[in-house]
Amino acid sequence: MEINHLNSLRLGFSTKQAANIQKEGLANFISNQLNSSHTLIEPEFIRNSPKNLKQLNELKNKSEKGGKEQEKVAVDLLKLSIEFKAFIIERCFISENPLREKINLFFQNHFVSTIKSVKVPYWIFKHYETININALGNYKTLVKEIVYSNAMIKYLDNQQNKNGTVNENLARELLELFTLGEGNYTENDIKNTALSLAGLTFGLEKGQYKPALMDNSIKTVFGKSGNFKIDEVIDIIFEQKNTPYFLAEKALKWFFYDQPNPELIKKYGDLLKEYQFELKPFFEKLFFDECSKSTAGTQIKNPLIYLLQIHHDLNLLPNYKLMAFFLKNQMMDIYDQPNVKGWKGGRDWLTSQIYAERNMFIDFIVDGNLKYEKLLNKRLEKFDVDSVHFKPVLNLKNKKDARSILDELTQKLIFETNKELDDELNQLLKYDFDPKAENAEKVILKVYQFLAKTPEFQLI
Amino acid sequence: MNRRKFLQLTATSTGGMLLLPSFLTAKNLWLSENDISSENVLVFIQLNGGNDGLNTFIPYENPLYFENRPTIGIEKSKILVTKNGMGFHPALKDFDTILQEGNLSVIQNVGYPNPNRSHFRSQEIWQTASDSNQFLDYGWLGRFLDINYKDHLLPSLNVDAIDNLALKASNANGITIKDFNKLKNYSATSNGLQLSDNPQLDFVRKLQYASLEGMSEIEKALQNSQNYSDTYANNPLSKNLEWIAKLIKGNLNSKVYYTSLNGFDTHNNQLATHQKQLTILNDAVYSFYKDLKNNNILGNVTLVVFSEFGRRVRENGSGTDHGTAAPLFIIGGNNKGQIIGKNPDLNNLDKGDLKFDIDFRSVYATLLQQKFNFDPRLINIQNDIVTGLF
Repeated sequence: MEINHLNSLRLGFSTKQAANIQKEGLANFISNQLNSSHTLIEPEFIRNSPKNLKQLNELKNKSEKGGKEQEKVAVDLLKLSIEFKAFIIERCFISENPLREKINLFFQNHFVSTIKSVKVPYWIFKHYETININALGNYKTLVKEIVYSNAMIKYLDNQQNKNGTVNENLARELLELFTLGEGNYTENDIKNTALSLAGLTFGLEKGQYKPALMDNSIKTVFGKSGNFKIDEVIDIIFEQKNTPYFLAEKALKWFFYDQPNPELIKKYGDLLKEYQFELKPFFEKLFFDECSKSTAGTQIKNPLIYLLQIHHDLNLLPNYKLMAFFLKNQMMDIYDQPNVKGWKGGRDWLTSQIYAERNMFIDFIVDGNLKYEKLLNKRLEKFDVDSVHFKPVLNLKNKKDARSILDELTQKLIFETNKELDDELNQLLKYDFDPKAENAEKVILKVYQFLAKTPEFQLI
Repeated sequence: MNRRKFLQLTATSTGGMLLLPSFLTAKNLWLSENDISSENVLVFIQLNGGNDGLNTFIPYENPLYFENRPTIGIEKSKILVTKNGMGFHPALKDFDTILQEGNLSVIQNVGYPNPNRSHFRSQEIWQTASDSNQFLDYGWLGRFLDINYKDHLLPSLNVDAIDNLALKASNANGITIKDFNKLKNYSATSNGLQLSDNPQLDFVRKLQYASLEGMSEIEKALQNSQNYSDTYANNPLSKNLEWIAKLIKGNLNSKVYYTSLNGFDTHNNQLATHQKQLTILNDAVYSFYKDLKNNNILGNVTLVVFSEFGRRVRENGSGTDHGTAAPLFIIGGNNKGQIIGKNPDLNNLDKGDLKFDIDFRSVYATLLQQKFNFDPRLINIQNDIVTGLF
């Protein structure tokens, strides 16, 4: 695979940025992405949606008398959630700064909070906004902001964490999943962290402590004692040994390697510590150093990249809601991870069923398939998803002959080739193939289809 | 009553607990069949590269043959004489045997009008049964299966590295299996087997096999299949045919099987290359033939051997250039064992190439009509059938 295409996949969701990486140079490209102002404007459908649980319940209660209307409210909320997923996917697809969206999604999967469980669309939007604002700031600040997000409070039940009736859920995940990782804390640390979180509940834009519900005892966390609020506890967590390495490992997994080398985890953990948890220089170094290596085939492609890459390559008109459904089937339901641990990635991205569906999807795009089309349209008619139809167009730079076409496609699509694969490709597009023939475009699409179904295409 | 219905009925009458008595093996079920059209199977071997028909089935009594081919002509004494001045290339000794046993028909001078000499394009024409200036999206077999076996689970099975356009359909879902030997390695039970130095790639490769639709039916058929004691010849085509035979014997119920053999584009060093490829073909086909015959299913299986074109009459250096018409072979399926059509006319050439006599679509029409009782006009094949074949 040509290195700029490979890096475009690593630093984004398709090979769209390959030309820019080549033009600007790797270092400049990364720096430009990280220094761009990456705005997030509240979308229309969020502006008109319930702003908190109270409004949400009012909406539900108002309609309870008539059964029909109640169903409509439920469907509307479901549509709203699909709209939000589509909104995120659209940002990933059209953004000039896909690296920023990829970092955002990394943290969304690190600080999991789901639409299904939080239910208030505005809170979910604010959760994403918090990530978008802080993803390249300081990691410690980001953790503090996230803990105060209404979405996270709801997702991990901290509204139930009160003086006298402690709920440890948020405290546990703060230590286990957001900062330190399992085995790097005691049950006592969790208990005391939970005490410091007591009384932190929903607020207007973000969570706030209700003084009457707070616990004012002296807490002891990692050997330090005081009447801590959560901000002070987080300061202490960030003095603990494993915090930088835990994030470094997850970043290596999200961007580069399903099985990262321990030396690399140490290298980038050390750096994060050295940078005092400043994320921008950490990411800049991580991206530059790892993208300078040509080792490929180290990561199973996640469904989002698979999908956006194909949409970009084949110039498909994006139907973001359909994409949301596809991703759900592929076990990458955007903003709806199966549990608080988030998508595990790696081999979890692919089962024989998921692989079969990927292949069915590419067959559907290239060949059309009446059965599949019927199935899809039937499933989607409830959700205002336009009917499904694809018109694939593959633009190639050099259509001189079979060899040049095969070279360009393999360089663009698969991380490596081998003798067997080359033989198959030469059989598929024989040396005397005429690129000017009437059906040449269709035939070249068949090569794309073939390549997209190879195991090699499923890896980055 | 077809076999499927029979099984269903038997199943219901025994309360769903059907244990097949041992005498009711696949073989016996085949034999008890009245309506054979429901059990006919087509198997295709596509010879890629343009097989030299004139050196395959040779007009040895025509002096023009030796005149045009002083270097690569096959020595008269080595040719396996059949009838009417035609004879097989010595490598095809078992084709000769099968002919003598009355189970092989040769259809001579098969081609199409305005022939195209590009491998790529000519294969497309053969696979879609189009006119030479017409481009079709679906294969001829795919179109047939779409109509006749629309909801069939695995209407076709292609044993090859790449999909075959002939089988491409808008509805019927056939599958392509690259290498059955890999099934063993990639099956779920063989975890931990190292195939390459990239564990993630190995992981995905295994999944690729498991993800094929119909894989469980295939595995079932392979288990059902009765063993054939004789070993198959040891070459890749032979292996593919052995798998196909196993699936047929195991009642996979696919209607069309397809496989191919490369290496027929003999521009140079034709004598040695062609000898080698024809030997592979001969040995593979003969193994397959004996297996089917032993299992009494030769009558249900029609094997078709063809190539996208023949080669130029006059040799060029040590090889031959792309040509046009060539013989096509039919084995099994109760064919009449005849040599059909005139001998190649070396006097009357078109730019140095043979003129075709029988359109390949006539052969297709015959197969569809007589093996499946299917009107070929439904898939826009208008050609007359070949008489005297079945």
